[in-house]
Amino acid sequence: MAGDPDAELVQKVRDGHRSAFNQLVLKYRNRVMGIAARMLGDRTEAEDLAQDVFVKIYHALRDFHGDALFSTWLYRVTANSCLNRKKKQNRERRLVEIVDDLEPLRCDPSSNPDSLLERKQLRALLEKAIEALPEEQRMVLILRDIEGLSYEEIAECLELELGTVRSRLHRGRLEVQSKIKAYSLPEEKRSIAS
Amino acid sequence: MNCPEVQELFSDYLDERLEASQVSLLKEHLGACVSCRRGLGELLGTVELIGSLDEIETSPNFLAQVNRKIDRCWTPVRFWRWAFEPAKIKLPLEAAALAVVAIVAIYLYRSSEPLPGNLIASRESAGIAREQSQGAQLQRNGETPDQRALLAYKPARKERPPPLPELLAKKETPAPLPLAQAQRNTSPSQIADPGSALQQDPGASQTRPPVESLRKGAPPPASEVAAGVGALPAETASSGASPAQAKRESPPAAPARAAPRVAGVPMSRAPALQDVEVVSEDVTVSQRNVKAVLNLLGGRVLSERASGDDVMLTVELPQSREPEFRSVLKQETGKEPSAFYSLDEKLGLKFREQAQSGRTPPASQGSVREARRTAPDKEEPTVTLEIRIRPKK
Repeated sequence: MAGDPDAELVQKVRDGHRSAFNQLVLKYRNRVMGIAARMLGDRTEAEDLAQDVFVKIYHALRDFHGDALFSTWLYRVTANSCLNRKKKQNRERRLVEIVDDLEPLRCDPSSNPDSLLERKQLRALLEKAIEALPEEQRMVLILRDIEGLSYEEIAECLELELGTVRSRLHRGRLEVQSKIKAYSLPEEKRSIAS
Repeated sequence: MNCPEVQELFSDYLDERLEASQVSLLKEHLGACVSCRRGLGELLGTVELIGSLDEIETSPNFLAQVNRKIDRCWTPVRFWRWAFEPAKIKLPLEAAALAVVAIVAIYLYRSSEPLPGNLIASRESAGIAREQSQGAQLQRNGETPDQRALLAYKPARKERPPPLPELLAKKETPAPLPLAQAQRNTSPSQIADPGSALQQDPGASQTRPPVESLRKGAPPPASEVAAGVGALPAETASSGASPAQAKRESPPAAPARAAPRVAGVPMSRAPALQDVEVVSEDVTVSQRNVKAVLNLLGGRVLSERASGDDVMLTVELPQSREPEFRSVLKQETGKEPSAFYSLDEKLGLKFREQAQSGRTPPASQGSVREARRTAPDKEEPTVTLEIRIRPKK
C-alpha cells in the first residue's frame, strides 16, 4: 500500500535481511504486547503470544504483498491470535468477578474520588474494567482508544463493518464508564460538555 | 432529539465522526440537558483515561527470544530455501557432491568384494552353506590338495562310545540321505574314496554330539569329557565330519558360541574367545603336542599360563584351520602314542618329531616346506581360542 511507513523495512525483510525484521519488532513489540496483555490478562502469556505473532509475521512476510499497511496486517494477526488463544484457553472471566473486585473500593468511607484513589489504583481499576468487557468490544476499544487506530483500520483488521466497529466501541466505552464512574472522573472532565 | 438518541452519538462526537448538522443538533440538546452534558463529560474522561494507560512493555530479551523461535522453527519452506536457494549456486554444488558420493560408494562397494571376510560373513548371514564359502576361499587362497585333505581329515572315533544325549537325539535323526546327497555331504577325500565315505558317515552320525544340549548350555556328556573333549561348539565337536558337513547339518539357529566367528576385516580376530578343554593324562605332553600342531597349522601361541594343575593356552590360528585343529584336540589325551599322531600319517609330515621336541622342525625338511607352502594367506581371518589342558583325575 502506498504511504506505508514500513514498506522499506518490509521489503528488506523479504530480501532476507533479519536486521530489518528486528527493527520492525522493536518498533511494534510494545503495541503487540499491549494488545495481547489486555486481551489475555496475563503478562507472561501475552509475551509468549507476542513472540509467536512476530514469528508468524516473519514467516508470512514473503506472502505479504502490501495490500494493507504493515501495521494493520500486524494488528490483524495479533487480534486473531489473541482471539484464538482466548478460545483455546476458555478462560473467559465473568463480569461479576470484576464487580466483586471493585466492591471494596466502592465501600471506602472517604468518598472523594480524587483523594480516594491514587492514579495507579485508578489505572488498575480501569484495566480490570477493560478486561471485563466482552472480547469483541474489548478488541475494538483497545485498538481505538489505546492503539489509536481509525475506525477504518479497525474494520479492516477485524474484518468488520464500520457500523459494527462504531457500535462495539460505543458499547465498550459505556461499559467501562459505568464501572469507574463513581470514583475516577476528574471534576473538570465532567464539565467539559458545558 | 431525545436523550437516548443523543447519548448514542457521544462516541462519534468525541471521535469527530459526526456530520455538521448532527453536531449542531447535539450541541443544542446538550445546552438544555444537564444530564446528557454530564454523561458526555464522563465518557470523555473515560476515553482519556483509557488512552492514558501505561504502555505494557515486553521483557528485555524479547527480540532475542523471537529470533530464537524463528531459528528453531524448521518448516519445509525454510528447508527448501536453505537447501536449494539460490538455485544457481546450490544446485550445481549439490549435483557435484552427489556425484562424488556415488563414485565413492561404487568404489567402496567394488573394493570390498574380494575381501574373504566380508564374503564369508555375508554368505553366512544369508544362510548359504559354509561348504560353498569355504570352497571359494580355498580357490582364492590356492589351497593345495594336501590342505584339502587336511580339511577333510576325520579322526577315528570307533573307540569312543556315543554320548547318552546323542542316543536320545538319534530318534530325531532324519532318514539316511540318498547316495548322491551323501556324496555331496562328504569331504573331497571322501569323494575320492566313496567306499570310505560310506563307511565313515554312519559312524560320524553316531558320534555327533547332541547339538541341542550344547545349544542349551548343557554340560557335555561324561564320555566326551573322558575322551578329552570338553564343551566344544556343536559344529566342530560334531563327529569329525568336514566343516561343510557340520555347517549343513547344524540347525539354522546356531548357538551363541557357534555363531559365525569370521570377522569382516582381514586378519582381525574373532570377537569372543572360545574355550576348548583337553583332559590329559600328562599335561606337559599335551601342551607340547598342542603347540606342535598349532605350529603346523600356521597358528601361534598368544599366551600361556598355569592355573593350578591346569595349563591355559591362548592361541591364534587361521580360521580355515580351526576345524582340523579342534579335531586333533579332541583326541589329545597326553598319551604316547595316541590317536593324536594319526595326523602325522594323514599329512605325511614329520609331526612326531616335532611333537616330541616341542619345536619347529628345520626348514630343510620337506614336510615343513610343504606346510609353509600351503600356509594360509596372511589376509585370512584368524580365530582366537582359549585352551585349557587339565589333568585327568
